[in-house]
Amino acid sequence: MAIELHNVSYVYLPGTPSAVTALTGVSLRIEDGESIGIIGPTGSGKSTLVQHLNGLLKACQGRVLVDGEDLSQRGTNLRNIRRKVGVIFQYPEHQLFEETVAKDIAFGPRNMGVPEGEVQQRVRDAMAMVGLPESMAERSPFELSGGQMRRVAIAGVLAMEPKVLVLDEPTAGLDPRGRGEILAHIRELHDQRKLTLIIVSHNMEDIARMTRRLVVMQHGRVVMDGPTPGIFSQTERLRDLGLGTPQITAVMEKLRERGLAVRLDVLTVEEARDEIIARLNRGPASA
Amino acid sequence: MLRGVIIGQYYAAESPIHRLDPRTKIGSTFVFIVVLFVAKSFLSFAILAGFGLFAVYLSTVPLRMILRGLRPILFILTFTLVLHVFMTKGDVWFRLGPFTATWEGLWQGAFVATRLVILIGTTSLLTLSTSPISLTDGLERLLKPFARVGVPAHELAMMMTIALRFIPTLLEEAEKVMKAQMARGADFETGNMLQRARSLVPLLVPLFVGAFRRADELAMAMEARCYRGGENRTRMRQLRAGPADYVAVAATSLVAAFVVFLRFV
Repeated sequence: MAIELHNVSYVYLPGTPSAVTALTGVSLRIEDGESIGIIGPTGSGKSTLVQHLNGLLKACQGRVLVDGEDLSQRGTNLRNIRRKVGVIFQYPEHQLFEETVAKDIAFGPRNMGVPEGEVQQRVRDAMAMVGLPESMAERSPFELSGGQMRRVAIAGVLAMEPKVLVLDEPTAGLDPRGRGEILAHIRELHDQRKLTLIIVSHNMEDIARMTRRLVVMQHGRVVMDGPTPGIFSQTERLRDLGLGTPQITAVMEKLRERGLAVRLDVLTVEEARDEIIARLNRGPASA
Repeated sequence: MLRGVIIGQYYAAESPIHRLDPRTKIGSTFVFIVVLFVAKSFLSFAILAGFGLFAVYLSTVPLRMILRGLRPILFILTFTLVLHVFMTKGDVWFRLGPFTATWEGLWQGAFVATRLVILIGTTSLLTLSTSPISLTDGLERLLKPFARVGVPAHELAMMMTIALRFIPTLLEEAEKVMKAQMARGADFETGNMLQRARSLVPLLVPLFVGAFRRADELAMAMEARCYRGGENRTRMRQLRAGPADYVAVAATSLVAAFVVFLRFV
């Protein structure tokens, strides 16, 4: 199931003095099973772009196709699209409202008209997917910790069994451990259930860890698009955009400045280790 | 979707009306409202409406914005008018099934409707031409004499300031939560009254939880900066009435006196 954006433009409050152009001529093709990161400075249109993927915003110009269906067409069943494309917004725990965790997770599938017996099954599955123990099902979501609340909210979207999972800053405000755990669970969904992942983040480590393709946005346009390591190795350009690189890329860059000709397109500590050892064995002369 | 709420919307501009002391504006508006309900003839209404329009003209607030503020009361206006037309006894105008419309009703209805339009139109000028901060400053000052009999003037003013300050924040939050729930298949637009009311639960609960969270954080931040109410607090901006204020008070008093005179003669 592919998502295609053809020349999409979006303006907030069009025709008023406070009109703001948020997207200009964005074209993207997202294939089934991809893992894509979207980065860009604040106000570059990332969140606006994300809201086009499930029809929460409708393109002022251009077309958005999900699984071949045009979202701007009147006949398109948006609820159906939202079942396929699950969007998890920033701080999703702020959307919890039910008395119990299980009821809150069941909200999505119930809205989609899933039969009651299956809803219960899906709630259990979704809780397992994000690593929530079953004993929590009957607790109030409001007495959980921040990290647990976030998992409940993510489970609420997973219970709709989407094909594409869009996450806007999934780890913002979590401690390192909560961050690691949530990412590990999302990673698992991608690897085992072949969910397409789209992650918006300011955290380059998260992006490096989770995605294979990277889209960079600025002023409502896509300015870079390619494999994640390749994009991150263009450190200067990213810095010009006010964006950073993963710390390990920064380390490699420093090593290069000191005369060790290592590659910049490494994303993990292990890769970096191998690369440095390989270079050292060949001797610094080859720099 | 949630825009177009004019109450508490400040139209920033430089005008004689904007520069008036908030106390003058609040006082004049208060007198204006009282006189509006004393008035018993269309002539008085014409005078008051003219006075209001002149103030709008001086304030440079576009008339369009005033009219937009009238939109929410359109329903009440129509309702009042229809009710009066059919419920007042008098000469028959026309019949509609079991209902009888009367000329007296039409007159009465038009009268009440006119009063409402002038009321909302003119009073919205107060919030349009006065920033929320100076509005509450003025209120606090006006309520201060009552502090002796136990009216917590400063606290009331602070509460209003905070409430006004958080209206846009809450609207923004409502929109966010709405989108999040729509992404989970919530439907806020179709269904009968009961279904719609129930569909608001997933919106209202997070909104309330969020409001309490914000209130908690705000209280903490205020305490951290040693806020402890009105006693001995000095203000950054002192309210001072100038010549323009005396002119405004005089003009309002004259118009008010004239309308009261018309009523009792």
